[in-house]
Amino acid sequence: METHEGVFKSRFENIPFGVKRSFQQVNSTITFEFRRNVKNIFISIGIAIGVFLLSFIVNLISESRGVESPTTASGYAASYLSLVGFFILIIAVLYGGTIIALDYDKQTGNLLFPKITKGRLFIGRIIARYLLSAFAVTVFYIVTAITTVIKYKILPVEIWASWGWALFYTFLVLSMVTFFSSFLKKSSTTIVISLLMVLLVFNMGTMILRVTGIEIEPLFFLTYYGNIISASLDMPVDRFGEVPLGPGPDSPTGFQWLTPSATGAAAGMLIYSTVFLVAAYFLFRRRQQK
Amino acid sequence: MTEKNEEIVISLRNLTKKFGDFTAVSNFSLDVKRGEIISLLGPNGAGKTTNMKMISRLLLPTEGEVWIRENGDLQRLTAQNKDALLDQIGFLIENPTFYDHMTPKQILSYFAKLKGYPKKKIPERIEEVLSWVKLSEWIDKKIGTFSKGMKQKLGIVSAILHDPQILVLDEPQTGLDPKARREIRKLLVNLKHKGKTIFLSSHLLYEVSEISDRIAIINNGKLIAYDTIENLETITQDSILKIELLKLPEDTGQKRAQLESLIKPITGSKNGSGTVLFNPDNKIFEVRFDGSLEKQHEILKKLTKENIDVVDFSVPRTNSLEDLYISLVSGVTNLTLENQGGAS
Repeated sequence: METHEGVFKSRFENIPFGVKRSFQQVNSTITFEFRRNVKNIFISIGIAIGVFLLSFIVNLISESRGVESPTTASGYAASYLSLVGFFILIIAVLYGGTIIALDYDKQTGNLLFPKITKGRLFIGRIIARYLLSAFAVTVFYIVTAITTVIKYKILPVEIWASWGWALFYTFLVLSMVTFFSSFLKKSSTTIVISLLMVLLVFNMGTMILRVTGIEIEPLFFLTYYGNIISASLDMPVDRFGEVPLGPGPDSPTGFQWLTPSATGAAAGMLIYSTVFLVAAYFLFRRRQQK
Repeated sequence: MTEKNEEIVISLRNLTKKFGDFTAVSNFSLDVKRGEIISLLGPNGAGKTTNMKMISRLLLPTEGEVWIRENGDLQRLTAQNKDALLDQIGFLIENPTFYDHMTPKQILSYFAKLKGYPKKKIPERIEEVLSWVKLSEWIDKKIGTFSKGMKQKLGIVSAILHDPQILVLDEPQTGLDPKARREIRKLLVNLKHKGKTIFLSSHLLYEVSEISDRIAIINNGKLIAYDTIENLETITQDSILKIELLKLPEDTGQKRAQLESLIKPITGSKNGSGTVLFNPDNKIFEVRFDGSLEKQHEILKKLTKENIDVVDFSVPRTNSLEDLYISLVSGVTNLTLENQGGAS
């Protein structure tokens, strides 16, 4: 075997340390994560198209049964967003479920450290997986926009705002899933707990507030922020209202917050995701391989 | 903080690691010199992996320091210089597990970039290191299809990829079949010939005895011995010499007594009576002696002079090391590190 002194020396001439090394490692991690998630990219595009097609079919059936189409293009676009919160949740668990837990579950972390620090790996992965999640959400908005343009010959400007809120909400949900992934043992547990939190716990919380008549704005419920995605297509909307508490026309009504203000949503989502990510990072940093 | 010392490439100084009330490593000091293969030997839970993790900063020591040579100077490993110092070392800590759906080329390319290896040279380097472990044909195959031995080799390859001068390998041969273990052993010796310094942990005594220049024995988090195998055997005064005769005598008891009368006065053993034993399982006579080469030579000369038809005369390093290891770990033999030349 020959020696590699030449390669070794030239390598050292080019080595960036400190901040430059951090950027280089974060950048390499982002590229690697894209490659690692190729299969998930196709799955997420499939889910985006699938969710769109479900709404499209529902709209087609409604029209065939004589229900009038919305009068505005933005109203029509909004009809595709009834499942957007659920869609974003699925995308977030797809990319976030394995973000940390997998390396401990399958012990793949043994080879990563100390080649890269946990901080740099964490930042690189969050960026990469957020970009991939945002791409899937964008695909959903692109097909919705194309369908709206074909039907109404116009692209409602409000769709840009809705898209922006959807991307923001995606970051929030991904942060939550990352938080669970940072301390739960398995990726599958992370996915189940994340789904339960959003679909059960937060929705139950909203229901409890409604029946008890408490009028505090539920900024502490993550799902509340998702309402602004479709509401932004039809501004101004009622921020709260009376909703029936049970079935039937005689059912009593209760007070419910419907959508956050733009400022409240932006601040709340920023604080929420920051808390999730900071907590996730510190839990990840303390976590040891088996 | 730097020091001038041309020989030592890693210096562990009074390393202590506590997990709550439990002390995993206690006051552990050891120097690794350039070009050596040093093996850290100890039972499960002795503190081997904890030490490896402290060198790699995966764990921070409760007390003590790790010093690593970089650009000719020994430097204390800190948060500020960890990038530069840890680039000098290739690590394989615990079982290497890969993302099954990826290929060696994809994974190794990522690792090389993390270590700042020149981008243009990465493909060539990956092909080169894979050829060392005969995995060239698997470069684009999914790792999920690999055997455990192939994954272990890939783990070692990932440690040497960026061409570090020092390798720290935690149990690199554990769980491998004999063929794969031999290949790994050969690879480590080749790397040593290329000038690499290797610090490995193991509980596979044979593997260690075949390739190590010096052995460090750790038990309950404490370094209890650190020297060459020969010196350790001399200190423990407890090596076994195996003698196989051309023809097995009918009365093995008589032969044993004859051999003992010839050899016993010159064994130098401090273990009292029963110097020569007959092992009926392998039909071999075993002689306890002090482990020195001089005594070994003297015994052979005596047997030849007395026309004893010896066909095999050897000191199996595994057995002697095993005896040594067990006696040290169980506390039968007490060594003070000051007695040993290699101790830091």
